[in-house]
Amino acid sequence: MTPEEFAALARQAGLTLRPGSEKEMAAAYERLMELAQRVRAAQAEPAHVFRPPDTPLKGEKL
Amino acid sequence: MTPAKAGVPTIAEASRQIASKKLSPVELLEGCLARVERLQPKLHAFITLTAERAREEARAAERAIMKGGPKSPLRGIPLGLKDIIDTAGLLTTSQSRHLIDNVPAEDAAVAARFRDAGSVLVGKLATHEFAFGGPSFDLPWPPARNPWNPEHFTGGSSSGTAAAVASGMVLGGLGSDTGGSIRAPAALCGITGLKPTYGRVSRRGVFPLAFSLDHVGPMAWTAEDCAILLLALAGHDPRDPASADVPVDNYTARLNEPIRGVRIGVVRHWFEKDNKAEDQTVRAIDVALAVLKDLGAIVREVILSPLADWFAAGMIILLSEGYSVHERWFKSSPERYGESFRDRLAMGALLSAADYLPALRRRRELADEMAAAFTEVDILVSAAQPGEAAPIREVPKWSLFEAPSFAMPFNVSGAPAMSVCCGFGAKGLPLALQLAARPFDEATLLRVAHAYERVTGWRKARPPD
Repeated sequence: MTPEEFAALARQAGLTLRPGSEKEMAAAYERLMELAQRVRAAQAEPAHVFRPPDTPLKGEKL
Repeated sequence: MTPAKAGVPTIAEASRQIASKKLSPVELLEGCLARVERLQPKLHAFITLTAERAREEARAAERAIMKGGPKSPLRGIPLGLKDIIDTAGLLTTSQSRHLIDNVPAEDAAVAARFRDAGSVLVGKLATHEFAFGGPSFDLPWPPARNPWNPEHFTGGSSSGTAAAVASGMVLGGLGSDTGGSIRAPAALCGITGLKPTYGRVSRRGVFPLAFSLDHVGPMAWTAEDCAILLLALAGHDPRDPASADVPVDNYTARLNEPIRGVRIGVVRHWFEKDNKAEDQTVRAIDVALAVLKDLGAIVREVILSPLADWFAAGMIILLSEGYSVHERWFKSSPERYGESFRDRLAMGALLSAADYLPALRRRRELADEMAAAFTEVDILVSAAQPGEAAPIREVPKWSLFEAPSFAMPFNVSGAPAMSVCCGFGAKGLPLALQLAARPFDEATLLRVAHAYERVTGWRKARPPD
């Protein structure tokens, strides 16, 4: 991704970048997209509820 | 490295001496304040020093003890709080221009618990900006420095707590941990740091970084001290939506039980392949495992998903949730952030639901995988850091993307984990291993760490003055 492409993406997201930061931010963004790609294939139900394993919520029977 | 400093007891030692009236809380505090006066100019551990308030609290503790003995092991113990933790009537900045004048009306739950236990608040401690950017040299306060060598990094983000505890300016304190922010500075500053189970300690009144990964926990010189602090902190808080209503163990009562038969799983591929630690770290961990075996633990190797998978899920969640906390300021006044925090968290603005949801889905798979591993072992061991602390001026801004952290798996799973000093490297700086246990089994975790610390000599050396 070029610094110019990154600057356009950032503008679209409503970000105001530090002057002159586009090049390093574009490189960091590429790394971020690698991380995002790494989890893309996950199939499980999202981990949106936290409770201790084997501990029922109030009124729930496991 | 020098022998243990005269006048820097552990919390456990000081508590026993206070209880038997051999040590005055006022004398104990004055020793800490003398070290603050001497060391703060080079370590920058404090943002706000509350010396006069501390003296009043120490005198009150002394009066209470003289009247009827301590009701709490923390009565009269000098402690510090990371400056993202609200304290009523006291500046709480998150080390950011955005909160440079912020004086909360109410104590955070954890601050209130420490106050109610009769401890003495010495001050508010440095952090990386909002517990994420840093080390930063463009903020109103300088970054904390490593007491073992002030030219080196403390680790972060609970940098001030680690520096203050290691140097004896306080006997213990609190940090927060979203991706290793208790365990990394504890490791690099040679102290003991515990990230409890998610939901074990209330986060109410602590500035959030990422709601579903944030933990608050103790940092102290020893595992025994962490047990004392955790006992004061743990418990259900109905005003924290993530707080768990789970009974609290007596962490100190079981501390001296033998560890014979405890099953330890070593996640060796994390630190020998996925993020290769320095040889000296690997050797120190192997020696530590031999010590644990000698104590009767059963050691075997465990294979889990690659460290990069845990890190990817955790970092996508952290950046997404973190940006949602800060979006308003990113839109209205981004120039008030330091460069490091601003550039890093801006990445969260570029993630979508199509990135965040798969990270949560992967998180579920990984948490289930770790739960399965904990049916076969009681403790997981890995590295806490790849090696010794780097020179502070050489820590790259994007280090967070360079190599997957050893800490993140336990933020992703919510399981309790701690850093324990396991030696010193070629530069004379601390090395550490990471221990983890199944959710809500901090008692076993602390027991194993305590057993290790008792038979090794690493707790006898303090940083030089």
